Amino acid sequence: MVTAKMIRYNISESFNLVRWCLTIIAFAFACVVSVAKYIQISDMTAITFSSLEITYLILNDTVSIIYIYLPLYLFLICGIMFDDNFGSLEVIKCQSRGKWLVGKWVTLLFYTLLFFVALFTLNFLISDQVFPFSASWSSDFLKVQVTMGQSARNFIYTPFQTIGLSLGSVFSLYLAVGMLSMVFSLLTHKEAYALFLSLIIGILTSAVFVYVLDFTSQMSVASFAWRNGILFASMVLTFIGALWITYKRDFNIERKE
Amino acid sequence: MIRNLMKLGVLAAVTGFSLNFASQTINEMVIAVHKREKTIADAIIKQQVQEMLKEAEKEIEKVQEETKIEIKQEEVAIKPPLPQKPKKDKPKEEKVEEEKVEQVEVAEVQDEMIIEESEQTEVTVDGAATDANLDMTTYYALTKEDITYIGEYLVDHYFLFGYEYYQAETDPVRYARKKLASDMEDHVIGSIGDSLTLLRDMKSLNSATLTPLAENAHLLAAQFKETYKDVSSQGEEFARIYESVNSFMDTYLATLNKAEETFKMLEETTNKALVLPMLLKSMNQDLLPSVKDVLNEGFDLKEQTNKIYIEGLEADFLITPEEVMDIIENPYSILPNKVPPTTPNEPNTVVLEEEIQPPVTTTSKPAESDVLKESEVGHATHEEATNLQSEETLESEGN
Repeated sequence: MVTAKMIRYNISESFNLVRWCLTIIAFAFACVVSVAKYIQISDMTAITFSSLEITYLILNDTVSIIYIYLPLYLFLICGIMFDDNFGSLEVIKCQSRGKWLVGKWVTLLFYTLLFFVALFTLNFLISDQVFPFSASWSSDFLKVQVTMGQSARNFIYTPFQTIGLSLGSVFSLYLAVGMLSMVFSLLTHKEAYALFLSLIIGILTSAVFVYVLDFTSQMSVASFAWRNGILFASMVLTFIGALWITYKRDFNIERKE
Repeated sequence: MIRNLMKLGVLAAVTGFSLNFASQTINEMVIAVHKREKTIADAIIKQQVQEMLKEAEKEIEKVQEETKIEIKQEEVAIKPPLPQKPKKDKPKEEKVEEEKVEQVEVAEVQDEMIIEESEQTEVTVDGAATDANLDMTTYYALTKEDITYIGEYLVDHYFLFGYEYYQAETDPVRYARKKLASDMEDHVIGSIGDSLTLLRDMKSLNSATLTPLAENAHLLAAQFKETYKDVSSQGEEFARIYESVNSFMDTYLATLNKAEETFKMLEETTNKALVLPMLLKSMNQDLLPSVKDVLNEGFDLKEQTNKIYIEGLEADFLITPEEVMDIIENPYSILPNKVPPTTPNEPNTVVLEEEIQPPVTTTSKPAESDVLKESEVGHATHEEATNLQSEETLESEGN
């Protein structure tokens, strides 16, 4: 089994302070811009949402998902597959290529979780400064969503359930794209190429999910379930592909490029 | 281990700094929002939004009845801004206060000078609509008859109907001049008539409805330019009217173009949840100032044409654009046997429709204002003027 020690080693080796600092600053900036927009909307139209709903709207915005947060995420995780010249020794220590890959995947999962926790927390904290927290739906949010085409039946569930599912879907999407990035890293051996390729594929994939499959539109549990199902299936296939590449690859001592 | 802890420390510091900076920025925005004075645009937007959301409310209630599940809802409002730390630099504050006092004094002196100058020269129409501070609560209690009365009053005392004046004119020279002015004004009335109809129902507004409007306005503007390009030969005042109409049409077309662009942008937006708020924000920021510019151009044009309509007449009944806006701001000043609603009218708040009390009708007349006195005198003078003309007509026919 992959040991906790190996995972801890992976996490500490691939943690890039500069990238994370830049990401946090970008989160804060994007959040301020988004919250400012909702403050203006509230001031001019007297439509006010709760802090949870604002966070949901910010994190569910199609432009943000595809063009802001996804590039930041790929920028953060593209270095996971690359080690310094001890990479091949790491494979030997894991005693199995499969275990090595699982260790990398667990690291990816950890960073994706951390990314979303930081993203959600920052956005929620800043939104909560202005908009009140509520465990129920705000009446304005309900009416606006129904006016924009949502079925009123989707609001039978609590905000935590609905918004949690939506964030979970975005998480799954990003994880799936992150796994694709792992595959490109295995194929290209170069961080810059892997980042570039995964960025293009990631944006295209997100665009398909958002615009073709209406990823961010419907809030029903059923629609979340089938979208996440597609993403889970794609993740399994990607992992199998990555495993095949890992077993075929010659592990030489190589530096991060 | 130590290295990792240091990295975490640096990351925590960056996160804290980013949060703090974001918090201060947001707080300043909330302060600005709380300080902003509400205008008539806010009340209109709020009313329109509430009407649009009423249908959603019905659908929600219907779903609750069908599923027999209560959808919990809660009214929320923006939190007040965080208290700001007091400034420590007191000597600078005193200097700032002194400067402010000096500036206020200078501004007051300048205002007095401006008032004196304006009394000596003709009354200008710039800013008559721009500075209007209207309150929707004033109009909630008005009946259709009240609005008709106000409309007729404004037509009799400012928005003179050119057709009536040239029809009543007996002197052939003045008749031709008044008819020409009226014909020129009709192009403007023709171009804005459809806009006024559309504005009554904001829901129907979209780029498809605005496009034919803009095309029609373009056509009328081009026809006017071509038809009256030599009107300056009729007199300097007609040249001024020609310029005013062209200026009005340019401003009006620019406003229509802005509106078209706004609606096209909204129709292309991907986040449909933001369509309504973006529309209303754009209307408030871009379109309403342009509409006020159109109104100001309209006043400018009306001043030119009114001068021609009242040739040969006593013009005491005519009021100024500022007085027109005063009446629109406070229609009760001219309504007989009417008093304003008893709901207090705070400048920075908007009173909800449900909170407005019905007007209190009393048997005794309200105290007469100067405007009311002027309107009675003006109206009588206007009627005397038309009677005088009809008497002259009868005399001339008798002779």
